[in-house]
Amino acid sequence: MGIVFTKIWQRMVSKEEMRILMLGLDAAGKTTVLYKLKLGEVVTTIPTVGFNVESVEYKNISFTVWDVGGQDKIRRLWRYYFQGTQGLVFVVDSSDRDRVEDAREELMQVLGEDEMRGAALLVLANKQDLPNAMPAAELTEKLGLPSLRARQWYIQSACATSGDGLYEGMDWMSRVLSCRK
Amino acid sequence: PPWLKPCSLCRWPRAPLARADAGGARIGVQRMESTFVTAFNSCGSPKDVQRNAEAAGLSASDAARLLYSAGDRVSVDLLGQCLGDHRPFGRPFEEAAVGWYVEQPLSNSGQPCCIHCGVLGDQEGQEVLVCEGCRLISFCRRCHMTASRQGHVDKGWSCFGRACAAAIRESQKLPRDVNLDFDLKVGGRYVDVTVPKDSLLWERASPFRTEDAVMILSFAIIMLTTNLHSVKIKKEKKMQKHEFLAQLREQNDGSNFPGDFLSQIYDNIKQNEFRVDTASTAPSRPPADVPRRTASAERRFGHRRVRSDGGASMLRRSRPPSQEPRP
Repeated sequence: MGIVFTKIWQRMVSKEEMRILMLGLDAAGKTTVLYKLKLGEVVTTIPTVGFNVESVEYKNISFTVWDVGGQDKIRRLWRYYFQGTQGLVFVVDSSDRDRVEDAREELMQVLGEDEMRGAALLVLANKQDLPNAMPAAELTEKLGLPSLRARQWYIQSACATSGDGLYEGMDWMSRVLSCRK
Repeated sequence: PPWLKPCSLCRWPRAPLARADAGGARIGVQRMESTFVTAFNSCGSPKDVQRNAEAAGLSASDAARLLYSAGDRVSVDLLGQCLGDHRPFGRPFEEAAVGWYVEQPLSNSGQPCCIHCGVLGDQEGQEVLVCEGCRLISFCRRCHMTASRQGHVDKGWSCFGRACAAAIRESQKLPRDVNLDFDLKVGGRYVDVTVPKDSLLWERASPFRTEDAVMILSFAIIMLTTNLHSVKIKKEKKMQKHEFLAQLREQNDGSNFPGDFLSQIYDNIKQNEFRVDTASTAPSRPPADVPRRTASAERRFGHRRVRSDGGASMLRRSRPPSQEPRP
């Protein structure tokens, strides 16, 4: 009986640490999402050189979010940061119809990495406030998400500047990751 | 005199060949160096440079060494073209680019890792083999086949590699201009070996094979800086030296960067944070003081959340004032 209580108590107070990688094409809004989550504010960002790392505490999970910039040449350097990543947040600019194909290729390449095999995938369809933004259903098709096998994925339409959808997405992520434990 | 006849390609006086006489060799080398560097700067393309080097009786690696030692007098643009362009300098530069390994990188626990790819001894079932000559430089099982190309000796041989003596010099901080004497065990008995001082030249033209490699390494340095010096990364998650080597494995146009070169970069970055002048390009950083919590945030995120006011202040800032903030 005591053990049961201990377990319940631990579940309530313990802070699990999760390592989450945030990727996406340039100017998708990764840094804005990160600081919106961290500070609840919109900060003016410049293109990321190097990377941003923040620990975001939400529910009882402490996410370490690695916000990585990067072109395809640089991406090979992320091998080290892929290790031990439980979740991937992939940010897409929904209004950028020209580059959604690039985004699909990048996503598939990253998911093909060995270290990302078990990672849960959250796609944030960002910039929904722009007039010609694609809805989440259309993005799902264009990113080829239905073809993913043996992976937990979720798409969430979001607007990083207003914060809409970010917490719903993180809700899903924390639910999935805490179920695994 | 005939040797002052201008070169047909670069129109600069051709240098006297330094190797001819023993007595005036030093002066000859110096003069050749400065003339060659001047001639180099006035050339238009890597192809001219190579012809120029051939005309002066220099091999490409000799030329590279001259240019390297000339420092800031060399036209950097042209040198970059020569290093980046495979065609004229490709082969000799490629050979020189392998470099000699003279310094052994250690992991944070003091354990030697493979100098070529950064694999630690206990990982992936690979143990680290030490060079048979100097007993200082370690290679993993996969890389020790290439040991002879880095100037070291494979397992099973009892001799010195070309870089072994240089490695011993580096590790013991010995001066560079004396002969070294060693007792080397050959077939069960010790033999006295003298390594003359002039066999210890450590040559490396360029550690890069392509322009891409330069970009990748530059980015890796920036990332390493963030990793090592950001306060938000915990101490146990900082990148270690062997991980830095492993991260850059096969990134130099399919091969590795010289291990001791990366090792030095790592030490450098660890000691001196890599900074740029941020006065002109500083982004508006998130404010250091986090605003006070409010009731709405309390409700929404429980007792542990990061948003300070449920986003209300942000909504006011980012939306036109006519709209009401969301509940």
